[in-house]
Amino acid sequence: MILEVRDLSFSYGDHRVLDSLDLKISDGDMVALLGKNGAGKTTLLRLIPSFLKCTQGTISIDSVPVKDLKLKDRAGYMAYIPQITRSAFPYSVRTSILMGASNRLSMFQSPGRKEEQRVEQIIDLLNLHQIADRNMDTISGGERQLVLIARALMQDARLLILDEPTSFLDYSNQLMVLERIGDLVKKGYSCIYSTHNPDLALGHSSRIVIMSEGHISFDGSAVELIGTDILSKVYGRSIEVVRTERGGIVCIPD
Amino acid sequence: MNAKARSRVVVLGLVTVVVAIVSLGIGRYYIGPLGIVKVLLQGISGRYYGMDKNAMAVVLNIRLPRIAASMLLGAGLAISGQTFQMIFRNPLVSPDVLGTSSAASFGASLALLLGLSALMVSITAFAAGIVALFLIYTIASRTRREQTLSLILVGMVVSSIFSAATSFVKLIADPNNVLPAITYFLMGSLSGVGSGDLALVAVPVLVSIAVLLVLSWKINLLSLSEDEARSIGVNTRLVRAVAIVCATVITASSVAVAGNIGWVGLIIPHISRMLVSNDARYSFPSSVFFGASFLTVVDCVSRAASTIEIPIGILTAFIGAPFFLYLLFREVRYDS
Repeated sequence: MILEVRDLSFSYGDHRVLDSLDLKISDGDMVALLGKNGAGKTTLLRLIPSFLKCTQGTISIDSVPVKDLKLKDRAGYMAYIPQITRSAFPYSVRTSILMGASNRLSMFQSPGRKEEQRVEQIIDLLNLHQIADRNMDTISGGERQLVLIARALMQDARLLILDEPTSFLDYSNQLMVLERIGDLVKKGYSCIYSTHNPDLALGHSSRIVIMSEGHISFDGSAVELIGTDILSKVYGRSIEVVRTERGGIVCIPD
Repeated sequence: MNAKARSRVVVLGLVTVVVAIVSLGIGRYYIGPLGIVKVLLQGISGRYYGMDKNAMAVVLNIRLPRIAASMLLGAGLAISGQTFQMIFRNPLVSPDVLGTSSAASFGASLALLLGLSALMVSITAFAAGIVALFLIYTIASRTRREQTLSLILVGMVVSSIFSAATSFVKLIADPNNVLPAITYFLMGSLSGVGSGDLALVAVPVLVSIAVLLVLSWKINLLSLSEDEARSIGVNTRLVRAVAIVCATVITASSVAVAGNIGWVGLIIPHISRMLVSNDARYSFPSSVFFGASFLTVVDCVSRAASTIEIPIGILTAFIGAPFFLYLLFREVRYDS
C-alpha cells in the first residue's frame, strides 16, 4: 500500500494552512509529524482520509484518489484515530473494538459471531485481555488509545493516522503506545502520527516530517537531524539533536 | 456482558407482557389476570372460556385500545428519546429537541380552534410535525455549521415560532369552550385515544420503532465523534437522517393522539442504559419494553387513582422528575 500526497494545498477561508505539500508513505513506514501549534499537522492528518476537501492537489492510495473511494472502502485502507475523546455513552472495550467491523456490514446489519471472533483475535494480538471486559470510561488514557488502535485493526486498515496519540498520557503510557504501534509497523502496517514531543518522534519513527508554516521543512530519518539546526529554526529556540552513548537520539534544548 | 444484557432484555419483555395483562384488568370493573387471559383467548379463538359479554366488551372495546396506545406511545417515545440522545451525544436531550412537538401542538390547537373532528385534530397535528421536520432539515442543510449543531439551532428557532403560534391560537380561542379543550389536549392524555387515532399512528410508529431497532448498531456509531464514525466507514449523514425521521415521526404521532407526554423519552433511556448497557443493540429493545410498561402503569394510575382522570402528562412529570433527580444524585455519589 502506498499513500501519495501531491501538491496539496488547503485554506480556511483566506488563511492558507498548507501550501503545495508532497508526501509518500509506504508499508512499514512509521512517520512522526512535528511542528509548532498551527503548523498544519492536524489539517494534513484530516485531509488524508478526506474529512476536509483540499483546495488543490491530490491524495491517492495505490494510485486511486482517496476522495473517489466509498467511505466503507476507505475505512479498509486507513483508520483515523483522534486525540483522546470522551464519549457521552462509554461502551465496553469489546464493543468499541467491534465497531471497527462496521465498514463490512450493510446499513441495517449488526456484527455477528464472525466479527466477535475477530475481536478476540485482536485482543490477543494487542494483549488487551486485562481490560477486555471493562468500560471505556474506566480504563487509562493509554489503554484507551490501544483500544482505538485495536478498532483500527478491526477495520483491516493498513494505514493508521493518529492525531497526537500521546497527548494527555503519562510518560510510560506514551512509550507503551508508541512501542505497540512500532510492533504493528514491523508486521507491515504503516503509520503517521503527530506529536509535540520531538524526543518521542526521534526515538519512535522510521521517518520524521517537520512542518512549518504550511510547508514540509524536513522529511528524513532521525539520524539526518543530528547536528542540524532544523528543530531550532522550527521551534524558534536553540535545540541540539545528539546521539547518546547507548545509541539513542535525543534533543537537548539550550 | 452480551449474554447478561440479552437476558435482561428478555426479562423486561416478560415484565411488559405481565404489565399489559394486569393493566387490562384494572379499573372500576376489576378482572384478575387469569380472567384477562381467558378474555383474550376467547376473543382470539372464538371458543368460550367462561367470560361474559360485559367483561369481553370492557376489556376488548374500552381498555385494549387505550392500553395498546399507551404501550405503543411509551415504547415509541422511549426509543425516540434515546435516538436523539445518541445522535446529539447528550443524555439530557428529549424527543422534542427538534421542536416537532411544538409544531404538532400548534397543529392540534389550530384544528381545535377550527372545530375539526377528533381524528382531524390528530391528522393536522401529525402533518404539522412532519412539515416542521422538513423545514428544520431543509434550513439546517443550507447552513455551513456542523450538521448536528445546525439541527439543534434551527430546531430551537422552529420550536419557538410554533410555540408562539400556539400561544396566539390560545389567545384568540373562545375562553369558555375552545381554550379549555386546547389546554387539556396539550397536557397530554390517553383518555381520548380512539381506535381511529390508533389506526392513524400505529403503522408509522411501529415501522419507525422497527427501523430504529434494526439501525441500533449504526446509531451506536453516531454517538462517536464525526471523524471517528466516518473513519470507521459509516455514512453518518444517511444514518442520522433516517434515525431523525423515524424518531420525529414517533414524536409527532404521540402529540397528535395524546398531546404532550413528557419525561418518558428522557428518563426511560437512562434507566435502560443503567440496567442493560450503553450498547443500543440492547438498550433500544429494553427502552421499548420499559417505555411501554412505564406509560401503561402511569396511565393505569391516571385512570384508576381518582374519580377524575388526571392528565398523563402531569403524572409522568410527577413520577418522572423525582426519579430523574434520584438518578442524578446517584450519579454524583458514584463519581465522587
